[in-house]
Amino acid sequence: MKDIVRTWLESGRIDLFLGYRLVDGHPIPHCFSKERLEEVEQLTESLARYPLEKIAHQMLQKDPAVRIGLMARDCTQRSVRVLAAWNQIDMDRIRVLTMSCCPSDAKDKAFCSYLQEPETGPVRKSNGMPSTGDPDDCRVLPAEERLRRWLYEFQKCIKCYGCRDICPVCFCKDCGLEHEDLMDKGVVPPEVPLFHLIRAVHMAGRCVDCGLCEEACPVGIPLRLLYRKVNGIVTDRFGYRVGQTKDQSPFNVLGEFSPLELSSLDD
Amino acid sequence: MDTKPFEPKIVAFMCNWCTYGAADLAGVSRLPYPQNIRPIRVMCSATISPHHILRAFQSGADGVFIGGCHIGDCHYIKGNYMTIKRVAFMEDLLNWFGLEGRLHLEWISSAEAQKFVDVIRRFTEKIRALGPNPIPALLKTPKAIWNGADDEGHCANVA
Ligand code: SF4
Ligand code: SF4
Ligand code: SF4
Ligand code: FES
Repeated sequence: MKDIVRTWLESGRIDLFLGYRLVDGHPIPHCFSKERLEEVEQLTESLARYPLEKIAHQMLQKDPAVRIGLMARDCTQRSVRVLAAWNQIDMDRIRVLTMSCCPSDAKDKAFCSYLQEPETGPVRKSNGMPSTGDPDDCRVLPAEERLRRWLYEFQKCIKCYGCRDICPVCFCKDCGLEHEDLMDKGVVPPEVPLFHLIRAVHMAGRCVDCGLCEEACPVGIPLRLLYRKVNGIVTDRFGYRVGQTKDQSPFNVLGEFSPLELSSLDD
Repeated sequence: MDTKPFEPKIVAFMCNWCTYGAADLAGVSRLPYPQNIRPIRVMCSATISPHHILRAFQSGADGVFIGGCHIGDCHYIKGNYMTIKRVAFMEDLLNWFGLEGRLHLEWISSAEAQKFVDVIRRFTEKIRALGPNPIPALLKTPKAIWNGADDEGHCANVA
């Protein structure tokens, strides 16, 4: 891996490389360059996860001509595709170097902090959303109970915007979560469930299921479960899978036809 | 103690070119319909985003109704294609979230005053049977809010 990055930088195929650098035993995100090639020696694969593609996006906004190499997990590759589909980055400017993350029998290493099991105790078990990984597991609970549990989760929110700020596919210049007409700006805690459901709507057909938001959330709201659900609806209703095509989600663009039937009042 | 019978509050977004016309026609034709709707005239049903729906429920609406032109009749050609996608998505999301059956979309042309009256009547009855929007009450009960820290040491926002 180090050799590849060195070659890419030396040959000028890329100007910069975003990866992790081991500093005093800690892997931190770092931008490697041709000028300081010796740093590549400290390049490391690690459990640590940062939205490197988001950093690349911001760099490309400043200098559209720069060519960036990226240490990329599976989720990184999905979000690069999503960012390209929404015309946020130019694929020609990005070169990815795949790293081993999600586990598989076909490989011997799996680097991802998300693979660690979340811990839950009795309070969370009786009030929180069961974080099983499948959003439809909660269907066993009656509607009132699901609502109560989600409100319990959302009421912990301190409106730090961490979920949005870490998210690789949150790129809006004017974020709806700060829109005065929608909810009060600068007021904590946020109105729930409004705050979280608005973000959920935005993530439909866009979230790449990297889980960074949930990892960043200081109060442990099972955000990934929520966004899995909205993506599931988009897949069921419109047959769209995030990060697997070059197209934008049909939930967000008009398109040529709308094959859906109205639901009846008798249902 | 509040002993008044429950009267649903329904926010009704109605397209200027069709459903709003139907409501108007129902009015001049003296067709009676329940007074539970709070009509909001919009230029096309496609101007209603999920944000508006969520905002209405957050503000305590018991139901949200959207009336648009029949497919093919939208004044802006294909606006209502977007409407149905959004509503179908929101229905799935709200049902899963635990807020079931409180959102309804119907295509009603400006000539269909009787259909408008029937739909509003049936939707109002449906919401009446469902009872009030549970969100405001849940946010007030100490069941949903809890004091102190949870298992992982996260603290609650007790407003
Ligand atoms: S999992 Fe969270 S951080 Fe990752 S893309 Fe989805 S919303 Fe964004
Ligand atoms: S939360 Fe929504 S509006 Fe805000 S940056 Fe993300 S997608 Fe854009
Ligand atoms: S990261 Fe968690 S606490 Fe922060 S705004 Fe998002 S949901 Fe709320
Ligand atoms: S103009 Fe009536 S739905 Fe578009």
